[in-house]
Amino acid sequence: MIERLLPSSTARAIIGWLIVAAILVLLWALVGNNYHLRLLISAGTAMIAVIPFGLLMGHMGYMAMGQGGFVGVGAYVIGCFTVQRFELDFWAVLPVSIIITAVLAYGFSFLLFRLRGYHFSIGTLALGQLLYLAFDSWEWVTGGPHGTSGIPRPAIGEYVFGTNSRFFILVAVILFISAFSSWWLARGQVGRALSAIRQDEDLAAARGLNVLRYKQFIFVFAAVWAGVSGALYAAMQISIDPSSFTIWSSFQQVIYVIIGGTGTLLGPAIGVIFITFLDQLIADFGVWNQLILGSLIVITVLFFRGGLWGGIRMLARLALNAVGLARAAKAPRPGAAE
Amino acid sequence: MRFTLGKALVGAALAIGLAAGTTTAQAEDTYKFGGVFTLSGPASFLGLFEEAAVRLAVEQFMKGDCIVEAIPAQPCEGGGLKIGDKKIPIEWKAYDDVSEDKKSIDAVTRLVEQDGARAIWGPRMNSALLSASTILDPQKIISICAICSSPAMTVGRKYGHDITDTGVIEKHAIAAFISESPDKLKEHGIDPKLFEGRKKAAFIGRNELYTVHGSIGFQEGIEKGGKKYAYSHDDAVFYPFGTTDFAPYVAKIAEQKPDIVMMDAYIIPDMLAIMAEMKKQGLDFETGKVVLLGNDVLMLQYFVDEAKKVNISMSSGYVWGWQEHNPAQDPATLARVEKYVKIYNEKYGKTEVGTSSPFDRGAYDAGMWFLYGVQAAGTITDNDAIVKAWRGLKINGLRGPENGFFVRPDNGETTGQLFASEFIIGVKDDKVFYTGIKYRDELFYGAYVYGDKLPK
Amino acid sequence: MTAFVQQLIYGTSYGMNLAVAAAGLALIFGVYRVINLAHGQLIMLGGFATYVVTTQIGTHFFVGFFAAMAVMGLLGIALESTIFRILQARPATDQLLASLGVYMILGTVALRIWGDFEARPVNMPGEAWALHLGEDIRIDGARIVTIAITLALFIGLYFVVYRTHLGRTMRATAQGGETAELMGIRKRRVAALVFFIGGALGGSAGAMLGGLFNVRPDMGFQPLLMALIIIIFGGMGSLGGAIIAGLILGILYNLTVYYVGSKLGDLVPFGVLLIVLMVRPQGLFGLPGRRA
Repeated sequence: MIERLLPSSTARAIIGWLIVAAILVLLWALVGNNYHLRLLISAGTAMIAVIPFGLLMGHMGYMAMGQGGFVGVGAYVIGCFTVQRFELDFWAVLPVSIIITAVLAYGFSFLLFRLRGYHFSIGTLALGQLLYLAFDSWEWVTGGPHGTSGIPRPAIGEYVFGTNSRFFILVAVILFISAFSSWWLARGQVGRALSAIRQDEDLAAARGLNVLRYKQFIFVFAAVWAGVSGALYAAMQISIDPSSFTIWSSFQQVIYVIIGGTGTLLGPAIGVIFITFLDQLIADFGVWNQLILGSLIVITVLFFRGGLWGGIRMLARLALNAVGLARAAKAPRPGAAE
Repeated sequence: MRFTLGKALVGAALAIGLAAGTTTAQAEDTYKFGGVFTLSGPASFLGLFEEAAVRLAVEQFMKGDCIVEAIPAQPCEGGGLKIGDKKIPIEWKAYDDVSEDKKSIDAVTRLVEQDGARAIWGPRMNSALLSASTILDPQKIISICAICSSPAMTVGRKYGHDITDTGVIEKHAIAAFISESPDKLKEHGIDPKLFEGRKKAAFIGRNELYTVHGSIGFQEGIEKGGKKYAYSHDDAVFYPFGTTDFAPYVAKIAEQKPDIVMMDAYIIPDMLAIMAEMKKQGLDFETGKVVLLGNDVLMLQYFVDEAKKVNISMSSGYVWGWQEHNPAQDPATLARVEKYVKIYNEKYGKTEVGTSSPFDRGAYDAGMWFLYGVQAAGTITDNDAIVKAWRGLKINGLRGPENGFFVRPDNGETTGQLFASEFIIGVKDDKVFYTGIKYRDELFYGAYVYGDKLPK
Repeated sequence: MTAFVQQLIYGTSYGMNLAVAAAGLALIFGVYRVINLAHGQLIMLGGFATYVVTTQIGTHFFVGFFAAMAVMGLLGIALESTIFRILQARPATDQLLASLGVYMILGTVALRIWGDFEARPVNMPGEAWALHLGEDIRIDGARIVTIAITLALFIGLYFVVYRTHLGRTMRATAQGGETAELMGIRKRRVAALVFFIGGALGGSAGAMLGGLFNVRPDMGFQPLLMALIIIIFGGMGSLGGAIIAGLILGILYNLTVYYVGSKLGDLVPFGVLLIVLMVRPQGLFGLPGRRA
């Protein structure tokens, strides 16, 4: 197989990321239809939050159910500073948005990481709901139920990311950074620490790992990317209101990760793509689409261990087995973060 | 994590699949338009009606079986729109927004870019309207809504059309009614003492933009009517989505000791629960302790019947609301309504859409009216011409003959907002009836009606 | 002061409803270690079952009430044997997502059958009268009835869990599945029992909510959300904790709506939850060290 011809994991990684970059460039070059671009932008914006969230949820095993709140914070900071209260440039506000989400997440992390398992999940759910109440009530900043409208599309000099085609470039670049940084963390020392935490947190702590630091770091990391995703969402939608950042939006992030496959980086991305395109496929079924989506979720969970990505790998293995390439497919995978 | 061949292949396959999916056939010889509605969940009440009615209008146009007529007359010969000598078939497509802004805009983009729609019905979500306008207006895509109720449909837009009132305008009407003199009430057979000694008004609604606008409009209307009642937008009570126990919310209104309660909700189970709780907490509209005001959903005959099932009587003479439709029509209009209702109920009565109400009649009128407008313009591509021709057209519709719907009463300019009348409705012997009081020109004032930009 | 007492009464009634809703969730979690999000729809379907039996067939409220408990109990068993049993060895996230899928399915089915726009009244004893304390304080008869039913349910539950053989097997399974199995307890039977009782509690919550208000397809969401908060607040798997936490949160919710702002009902309950967890991460009545 080709894999054996590759000398080292570093070379493989470089090739892999080149392929990712090539796919993004190809998509940009080939997809001309504005509707498909819109779906790609939607999916890409979601992935920017969901791939780092996969680290928190899959690699570390902490299922946060309030990520929608951080997406909202990122979006409303952009809304407040670019149109609602001030009229600053998107690029000047983006760092502010990152800092605010980071500080918020860091502050709450002290409280939330006194909790584990379901307690942590429900704790984050409560936080998400409190943030939603803030979006709905703090009218000076958010506009309350009126929302914030007229958010400008970002620009670099004269080049405005106004059309879907241009906005895709922005999303693709940021998505690449988000995915790459997640991968970078997952493969190194942090990745090992995360899986140690997932397997047995107390043991990891007993062995001298500063468990809290790692947990806080990943939580802030995921929150910051959720905020960046929100910032792009605000620029994409042009007008935002609290209904986009409810508990349901947090559930959706969880669905993306689990249905795609936890514990991998590609899984969450596949989850986003699957749900985004499924939504369009079943849009014609009108009133039945919740039933179809629900059934697919149940079926996927029941029959595909490790989500869709697990299912794809299982099917690929079966297919390779069938053509007698079993050994190549079953080659051990040393990367713990896989 | 390592990159393997498998992953690369998956990525590549996805990319190729996407690229392959982007080719779409565009036919120039059909007129395509579509809609974005809420077709599932509690808010689907209005969406299902509207979608069904517009679909019916399209089908009738295709069959040549139109119930309403345009003035000046337009042909409805079947086979589609008659443009010149050609017949152009009409294609209708609707998507569900699942009450989500993002899906709403996804669907709008899909209709325009994929399905080739030249006009969009909706989106229904008030919060998605502003996003939609930034997509639709620059592309000169007409957007229409017959139950949207938000000024965002038209304010500052060239191609947006609101074929109904808005949350603000309708509250202006009900506020004008409660500010009427006893003489005027008497003239229309209403107890002249109905509002005597009443001083305090309260407001309850679900927490959403429509009711926020409603409360603002209610306050504006009371001020305009001479401030006969104490009411401030800050006192409005908004309950969240999914509320089951309304006791604390109703207690919050009761605490204000109101003589008049405006209930601005359109989710039927919510309304029934609020009314039952009001009775329990002494805000009794059956004995006249308070006057209950409601919107056009409250004033549906259907709603009065449902309320009766839960032992709520609305016939005390202390429950008032409005309809945008003139219930007392000339015989010709009534015959049209009767014919329409029969067709509609046969088609949808047994489905989740339910039986006909003024809402679907309004949407049907709007659909017919618009299609006649396209025909009158003589083009299916030039939306500037279509807008102009449509706005110049009148319709002998299910709401009866009305003139100058799109013309601003203050300065005569043409806009996308429908300047329709509001008819004050009451309930007697479990039947809704029209009081004979109607408002029109006096309803249109304030930043939410004539503004160039929506107030922040 | 009267307003405050009145809100305490409303809050107690609301909190009792929430406590029943949460108790089923807590019981299933305590024994089976699963958070069953579909519980919200069992509550809703319990309401519709009561509606069908009480209003459409035309029987006494309690016939419908027990029918709802039985049907939802059986639905609970069905969910256990078709979905949760298969997922038992899987990560908690899979179980949670599967139950969310079931939630969506059941919600759509109910919507298709009963629709969203109709009055679905359930005639409940005590609906026509109210108890008046002094001038301004009133307790609705129906609310008194639900509080009484709730107390009866909890006493019954206490007996089943702490005074019967079945209860002992349940508690043994809760403390350690494998040990219990070694001791000869048949796990499947315990699981079926737990899901039956859990479902029945959900059904009874729906019957009471339906009797107090209206039966409607989206009536399961808010009780579910509050129940999730309650079982954490009270201590995971602790039945007594769930009841007391339900009461506290119901009262806090009503007081917040009344005194802080109508839009901010969730503010104090959710905020208090976070503060309590900061002090006692295991919840009010959870055992320290027994973390989920």
